[in-house]
Amino acid sequence: MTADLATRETTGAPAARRVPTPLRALLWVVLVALAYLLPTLLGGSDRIYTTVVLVAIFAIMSYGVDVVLSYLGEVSLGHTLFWAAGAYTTAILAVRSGWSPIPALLASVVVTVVLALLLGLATLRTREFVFSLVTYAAAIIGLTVVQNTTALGGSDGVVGVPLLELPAFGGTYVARTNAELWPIALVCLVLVVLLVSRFRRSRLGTTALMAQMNGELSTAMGVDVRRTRVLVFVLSAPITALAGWLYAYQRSYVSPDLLSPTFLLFMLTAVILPGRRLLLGPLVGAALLTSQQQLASLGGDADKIVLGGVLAVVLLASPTGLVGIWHALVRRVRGSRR
Amino acid sequence: MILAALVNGLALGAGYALLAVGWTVLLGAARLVNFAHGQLYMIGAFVTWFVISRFGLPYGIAVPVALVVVALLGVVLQLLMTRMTLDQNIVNLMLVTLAFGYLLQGGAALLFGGDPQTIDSPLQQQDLALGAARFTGQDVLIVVLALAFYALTFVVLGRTDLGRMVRGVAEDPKLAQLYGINAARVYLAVFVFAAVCAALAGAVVGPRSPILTSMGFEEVIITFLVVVLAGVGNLVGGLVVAIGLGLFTAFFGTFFPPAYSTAAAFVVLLAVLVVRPQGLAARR
Amino acid sequence: MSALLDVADLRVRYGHSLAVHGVSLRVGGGELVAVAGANGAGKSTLVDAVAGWSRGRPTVTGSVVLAGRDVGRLAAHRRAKLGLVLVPEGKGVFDGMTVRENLQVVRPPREAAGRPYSVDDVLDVFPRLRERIAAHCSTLSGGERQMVAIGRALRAAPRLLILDEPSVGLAPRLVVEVLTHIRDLVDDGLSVLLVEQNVRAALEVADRLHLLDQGRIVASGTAAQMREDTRVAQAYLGGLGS
Repeated sequence: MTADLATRETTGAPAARRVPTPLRALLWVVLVALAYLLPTLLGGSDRIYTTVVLVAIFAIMSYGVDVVLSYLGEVSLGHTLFWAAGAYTTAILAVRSGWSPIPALLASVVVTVVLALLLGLATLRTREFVFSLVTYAAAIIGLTVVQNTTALGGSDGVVGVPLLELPAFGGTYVARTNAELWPIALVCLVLVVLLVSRFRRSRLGTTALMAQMNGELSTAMGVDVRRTRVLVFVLSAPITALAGWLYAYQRSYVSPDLLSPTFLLFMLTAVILPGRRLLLGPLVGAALLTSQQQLASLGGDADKIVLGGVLAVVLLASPTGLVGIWHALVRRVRGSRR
Repeated sequence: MILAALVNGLALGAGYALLAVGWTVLLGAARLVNFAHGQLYMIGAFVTWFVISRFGLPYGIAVPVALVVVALLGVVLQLLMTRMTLDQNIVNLMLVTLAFGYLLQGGAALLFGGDPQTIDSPLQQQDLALGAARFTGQDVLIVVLALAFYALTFVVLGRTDLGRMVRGVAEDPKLAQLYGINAARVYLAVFVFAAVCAALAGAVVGPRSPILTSMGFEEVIITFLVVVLAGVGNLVGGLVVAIGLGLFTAFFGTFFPPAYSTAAAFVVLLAVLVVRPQGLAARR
Repeated sequence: MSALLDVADLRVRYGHSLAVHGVSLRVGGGELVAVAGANGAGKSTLVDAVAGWSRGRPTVTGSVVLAGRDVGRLAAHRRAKLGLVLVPEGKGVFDGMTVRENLQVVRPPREAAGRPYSVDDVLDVFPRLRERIAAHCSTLSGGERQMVAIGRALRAAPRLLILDEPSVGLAPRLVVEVLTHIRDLVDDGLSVLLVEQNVRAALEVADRLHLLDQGRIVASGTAAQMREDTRVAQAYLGGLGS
């Protein structure tokens, strides 16, 4: 169902024109309501709630990479840094200084924006792959640094993150279980999807796409490609940090594994597997990958092979992802009918 | 202490140089950023260990076996990527090599287990001394091999038809076709060469310390530091930067916690990129 | 007589626009055939497609037969090995290499298709290159680079040499020099397909000439016929010529 809507998004403008706006808004509301009820419909077990919460968190995490990869066409391999920065800032402020969730989130955003600006500006004048290499190096070196810095908890990380408590009507809403965390995670996910959808239609989004399609032409048309790259990169970082913030509360501890290549591969695969430049793509990708890891895990090393294998096979066989395969099938069916 | 750091830095740097020499040629010729490079280094080390510990063969035989295994692996990987390389789809190339690296890491963990292992090289037991600085026969081997490989690469690139083909493809792959050069085959040769260099680095640097299947990520970063600091495709610059990086790491480790040495080198790189995006050694 | 090169109904498409509309032409052994026409007539697109080469990604249909063998589906480097050798318009040499290296990097095919030229033979054809043999191609003049480009094509032992605007950007005296060299090669038995914007110059050396306009051949004939052709005279020899 979600996949169907996602493919309709690729065809983009025509589909959007066919369905009148109020109806589309209604469709989205129904979709969100259905998503909210999904764990109940699937039986409402603890395992299901854990899975859907993780899907939401990992989808948000992947949307950060999606913004850079799909629209800017650059490969950021440093988003695990923002993911970890969001989680670590939250955990340290909450555990050691007793900050409440909202200020911790704001602090996480500030920290990641600063990090993204540093990386973005350092690579401002470099060629395409140097950007990827620098972001990759930042993430891998971040891992060593975090592992060896006692102030950041060393290889043990930071444990004992308190429960997620948000101010609500007539008191506070406390998320004690994954079931209670689910509404918050879903709201965050919906907000991120809205933000990305807004970005796709924004001036910055179209400029980024134009710079990706034809850098020289857009430069000739007065687009500052470097500025666009930095802006999009800086915009994408807090999205991933938001996921880190949620994850710190969901897992109640943070550790250096947040910076491991596993999460990096996950983000990239979640974007590429369904097909790049789909509004709901990262959500679908995150859902598929998380379901495999949570409900059909083959063990740590075998899951690595699955993740790496899926990414490699998709890129080699159908770089446009599942949507590309779908389109090819449709074309073949239509062709044979004629 | 200074002398000890100097000798240690030289061996480290020579190892980095060996690791980076193939990548320099690969990136220059095929504009291919291979993120699986570090895993090929890891596989080189582990196959060497496996041949020694499982079949009881001497180190001198295990190393060539590892090189052959990794060369074959390189052939398979590059054949899978041929189309992408010819299309120069840099984004997908980076992503697919990243996936390959992760696959290799998972596969190696399943195959070789998660425990740290030591490669038993007779040269590692050979203690030598130069004044106050102590080093091993293995260190000498690394330095000799690194210098030999750079010399070999330099001569092949500059003086042979193969080298001219590689340079031609690097300059203009489309034009190279008109010269009758099969770019796909040149890419294959260069990729396998880079893979073999990485494996050799793994097989000769490996005995210096315990090896883990999870290693390889830092090695990619080091390679990348060397190649970018030197300027893409700059062979001599690469050797100088690699030795420099080795010395930097050794001296940094003498005065500060060694775990931060790569991070410190990275900060230097960021500073360099801001000032000279084309690298240190590059002309203009 | 079957021609050395037989191109039939060649169409080249870039995306949705057709750049070459079904062109057919032949080149016989030891013949110099010129393709002339204005800028943007599709000359380069046509000969690039014959050589199976392009910097873009065109779709090519039609047949290209070299000495009875259909080469239309082969990659450019395979066609080059069979003796179908193109010297493209503009950048035709490796700037990062010396003159000697540019000539050395080409290996004549094992079963030589045409006459094999050693590096020395090339230097005999273009004596001017002898003194620049160790120079980097980036330091050469336009005419010298064109000679290196043709020289490296000769090294590939071509049966059919395709030259795309070898005279572009050259001083008039050099144009004559380069074209004379080409005519000498043809008189030695080489077949050449020459693209030339300068119709007057092309008619000086060619045996036959095709006029190309908007991707179609609009006039063909021997050099003598074309010189007499009023359309050619009006359109190309009137004032535009040289």
